[in-house]
Amino acid sequence: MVTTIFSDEIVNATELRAKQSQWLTMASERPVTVTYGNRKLTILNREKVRNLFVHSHYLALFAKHCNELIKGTKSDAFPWTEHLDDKEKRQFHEELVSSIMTAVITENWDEVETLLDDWKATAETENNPDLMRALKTKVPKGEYVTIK
Amino acid sequence: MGMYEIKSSRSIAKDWRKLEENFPDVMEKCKKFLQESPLVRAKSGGKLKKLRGKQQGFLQYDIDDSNRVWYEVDNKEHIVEVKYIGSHPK
Repeated sequence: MVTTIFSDEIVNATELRAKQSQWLTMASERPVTVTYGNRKLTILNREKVRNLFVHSHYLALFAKHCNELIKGTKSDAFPWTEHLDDKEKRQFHEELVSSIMTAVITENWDEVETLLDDWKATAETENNPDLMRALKTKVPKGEYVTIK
Repeated sequence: MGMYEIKSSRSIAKDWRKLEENFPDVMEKCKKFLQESPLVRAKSGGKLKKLRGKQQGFLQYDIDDSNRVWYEVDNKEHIVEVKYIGSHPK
């Protein structure tokens, strides 16, 4: 069962106070849950918590994106994709799947962030006719000037 | 690795100079980046975007919150060709 993946050490407040350093050292490696009356508070490594939040954020976004693809509705997860053509939308989806799968394993979500930034910039560029004209324009070599 | 030469059409160069007059510090930073490492994301401080799909090969550098420069790089000739500079499309 997935619920057993979260394996924590359980300690009461008195035990925690008695061997504070030992429990806190342990908490940097795996969760330590402190029972206090009928409450349970867990001490976790900050980096691991941060990663869990980022992980959850991107997976929720990705699930939303997939749901919108299946239903064929306008994207709310990535609204800028409306400016991409069908081939680009497919490419974006394939690259997103691949980068998320890698990030789940490596716990490095920077590549996903970079991918989204690049595709968003691409979509916004394609939505600007003046900019698109400029990108396609070939300036004859003799008409170049050097910016110093 | 040698420096890149930044080139553009006359009208783009004019737009560049206008921005340089208004925002000298950020434009200096932008110029340094284009001259030294126009393809290196790690040196851009998150300002470099590499366009994808049909626009693959074009790059975007965020000068500030509202201005961008779009360019392509000729690695063989060590030339950065600025294609457009100005406001980010709304």
